[in-house]
This record gives sequence, structure tokens and C-alpha cells, in this order.
Amino acid sequence: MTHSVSLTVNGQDHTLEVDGNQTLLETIREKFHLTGAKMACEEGRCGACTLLVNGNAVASCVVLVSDLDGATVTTIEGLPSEGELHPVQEAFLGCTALQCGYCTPGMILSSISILDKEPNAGENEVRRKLSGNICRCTGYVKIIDAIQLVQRDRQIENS
Amino acid sequence: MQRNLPPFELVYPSTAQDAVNLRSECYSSCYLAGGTHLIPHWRTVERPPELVINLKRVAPWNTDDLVNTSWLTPLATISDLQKHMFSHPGFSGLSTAAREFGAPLIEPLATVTGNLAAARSNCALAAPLITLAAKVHYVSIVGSGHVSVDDLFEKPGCTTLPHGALITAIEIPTPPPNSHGAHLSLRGGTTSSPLIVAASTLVELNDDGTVRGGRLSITNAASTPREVIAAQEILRAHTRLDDIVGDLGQAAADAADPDDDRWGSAKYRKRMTRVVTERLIKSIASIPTTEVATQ
Ligand SMILES: Cc1cc2nc3c(=O)[nH]c(=O)nc-3n(C[C@H](O)[C@H](O)[C@H](O)COP(=O)(O)OP(=O)(O)OC[C@H]3O[C@@H](n4cnc5c(N)ncnc54)[C@H](O)[C@@H]3O)c2cc1C
Repeated sequence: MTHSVSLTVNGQDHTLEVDGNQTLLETIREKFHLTGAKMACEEGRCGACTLLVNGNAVASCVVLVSDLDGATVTTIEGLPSEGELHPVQEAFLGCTALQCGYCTPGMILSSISILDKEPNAGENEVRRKLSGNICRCTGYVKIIDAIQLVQRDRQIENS
Repeated sequence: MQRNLPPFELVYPSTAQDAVNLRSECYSSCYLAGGTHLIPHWRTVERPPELVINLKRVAPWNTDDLVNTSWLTPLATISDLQKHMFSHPGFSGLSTAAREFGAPLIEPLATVTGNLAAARSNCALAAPLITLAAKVHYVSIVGSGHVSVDDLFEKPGCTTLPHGALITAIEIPTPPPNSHGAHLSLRGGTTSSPLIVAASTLVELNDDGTVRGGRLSITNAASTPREVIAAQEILRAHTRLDDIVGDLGQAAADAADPDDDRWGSAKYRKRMTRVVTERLIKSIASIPTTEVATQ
């Protein structure tokens, strides 16, 4: 039996027929051909498959897509607007917060969720919230630098 | 290579009774809440059952009011618990355990009910719920009932609930006045490393700051989470908490019966049960008496 699901993916509305065992990650990669989110540990432990669902960063490999009727999903491909990178993407580039790049889409989406929900989170809290995203190259220091850079920029903008 | 989940039939009942009926009609079936325990399990350990009964559209659980001071609905997630500000200091062990869950990308999905029903030894929310004397309410094909969280765990992966029982709520009594809760967990490394051991306590204090009662429970220190029964007597001592830190640590270590696993030997985990318990009690004892008494 299939299930009908209405989803907004990167700002565009879609209605799909999906199987009950289909995960959000499979749908995004195989039906939408958006391959920034990666299938890696398949257990929700590594964060390579992170997507934003209604603004929350979640491990999309453990989410059934049929649960998401009416949800808004943002992938790394949906971030640039009018050709401009998202400020968090700019900060990752500016701080060289990436090496092989495999974890980067998930890291950036988690960072956006942290910055939106807790704009003034201190370093310890940022590290805690980012602990579901594993990076085997950077040692995390530059990733934290990038998030703090965006925090400082936003504080200046708001003052 | 990407591995899709094995096939199963997924149904969305709209009432708790429909869910229970579906479960009783099909032997190879199970309930699904957040899926963060079951979905990885189906990829790595065993195949899914033929019928998966998804609880996400059960009314009225699928509304926004998932957490209030005395009830959690079955769809309340770890994130919901983190956001809910319990004003009574007795609840702070529960809030801390939710904050320390250690898996930020699954916290918006993982339910408290699924956490208890999975009955794992490291069940993160069990210890604070045991100290708060929380009860699990359920409905099954033979009727409804409730069981205290303390009595919920039979063995790893198994609860004492009747076959096919559906948890319909978790009731959390308000802690007595002048009580203070706390929770402390020890992990193997970073905040998301595997849990070594955790302890929760709820202590009831007299106006002069001496202790008049309370409970202590431990997680991941035995095959299932459990209350340290001997602590109840120690906590009735009417003395200062400082004076019974060692006794409570010893009682917790005596109640611990851990297995060796790849994160630590049984001997190490038993010793850490004592260390974590003593630190937990000291953390409450270090709050100035006046502050504790007025909370
Ligand atoms: C990366 C990662 C880290 C994790 N860390 C921890 C951890 O630190 N501590 C921990 O304890 N767990 C942990 N887990 C396991 C799991 O995420 C949690 O236990 C979670 O709370 C389970 O809730 P769920 O809603 O996802 O359960 P589900 O997977 O939906 O279900 C779990 C069990 O509960 C049953 N169930 C669900 N709802 C009901 C109901 N209403 N009535 C009766 N039975 C029901 C299901 O049939 C199933 O047997 C982790 C998982 C992942 C992927």
C-alpha cells in the first residue's frame, strides 16, 4: 500500500505516492536527485544525512517520509538564494571549515538550525548541539569558528 | 552502497483503540512512534514485522499539547521535554536527562514512551522517571491499567506490560514541596559518546536543609534501569546530605550489576556507579541550605 504525501522541498510543493518503508533520505536522493545528504551510517549516528524538517535538523535516514505530510524540507541545495551562498556557507568557506566535504552539507544544516534556535549559544552548547554530526578531517575547531563568525556578524547587524 | 529498509505494511490508526485492535489482529506487528530505535534495528539486527502500526496520527496525541506538568502523551519527544520548563526544582533531573540525551539529530523524533518501551539498559529517561514515581498508563485488548516505571522493565528489550499493550500516557506526580531533583550521566568521551552510567535522585528536605526522604535510581548499571531500594532508608536519616554521600554511593554500587561491554568492564562500571552517585548527591548538597529550603 502506498501513501500520499504533500511536501515542500526547498520552497517547491510536491505531492508524492510513497511506500511505507521509504525514508526521507531515500526520497530526497532517489526521487528528487538531491544528493548533498549522504547515506552513511544508516542508524542516525553520523549526521551525514542531516536535513532540515520544519526547521529542525534531523537524521533523515531514520525518518519515514510518509510521516511528513505537510512538512517543509530544506536540503543543502536549497540554501543559496538568488545565486548568493547562505551566510553559514560563506562562513564555512571563509574559515576553511571543511576538508573532504563529505560531512559538510549536514554540518551546515545543523549549524543553521543551531543559529536559528539559539542565536547566542555559547561554545559548549554549540559543540553539544553539533555532536550528532561527525567529521573525520577538520577536528571541528574551524567549524566552531565558522558558527561563531556568523554569531558575531549577526550581533553586529542587530546592534 | 545504499540499503533501503526491508518492506512492511504501514498503517496509521486514528484512535488508540484502533491501534490496539490492529495489533491484536496481526501477530507479526508492532507499534512505531519516533522510529529511532526500531528503524536502525530493522536495518542491522532483525527484519521488520509484517505490519507496522504508526502512532503519529492517533488523536488527540497528534496535537501540540504533548507535555504538561503531570502528563506526557505518547508522542512527546525528547526535544519537547527539553523545551518544557518545569518550574518545580524537583523536576530538574528529568530536564537534565532530556538535555543530556546525547543525540541532537534524533531528539526531535525520539519519544519518551519509545525510550521506555524499548527497555534498554541505557534507557535515558528511566532513572529520573523512577525517582519521580512516574506511572505508565496503557490499554490492551483485555483492558486498561497502569504500572510504575520502576516495575516496567522485565529484561532488556522486554517490559512487564501485557502483550500488545499500547502506552497511552506517562503520569508524573508533582514532587513534594521542598524537594530537589538532579541527574548526572557519565559518558565515554564527548557528549554523544555512549553512556557509561547515569544516576538520578529526588531528595526531600526539611526547612533546616537536612534530608527527610527521597529516592535514587541508576541507568546502565544493570540489565535494566532500577531503583536503589536501600537508598530510601538512608535518605530518611534527617541528617545533612553531606553526611550520607558515601552511604548512598555504596548503596548504588551494591545495587549495580553491570555486564562487561566494549565501553567498559563490569568492575569499572560498578565503580563508576558509586562515583557518579556521590557526585550527584554532592551537587545537591552543595546548594546553599537557604536556597534549597526556599525552592
Ligand atoms: C543516534 C542514536 C542515539 C541514541 N541514544 C540513546 C540514548 O542515549 N539512550 C537511549 O535510551 N536510547 C537512545 N537511542 C535509542 C532511541 O532513539 C530512544 O530510545 C528513543 O527514545 C526511542 O523512541 P522512539 O519514539 O524513536 O521509539 P520507536 O523506535 O518508535 O519504538 C521503540 C519501542 O517502543 C515501542 N513503542 C513506541 N511507542 C509505544 C507505545 N505508545 N506503546 C507501546 N509501545 C510503544 C515500539 O514498539 C518499540 O518497541 C538512540 C538512538 C539513536 C539512533
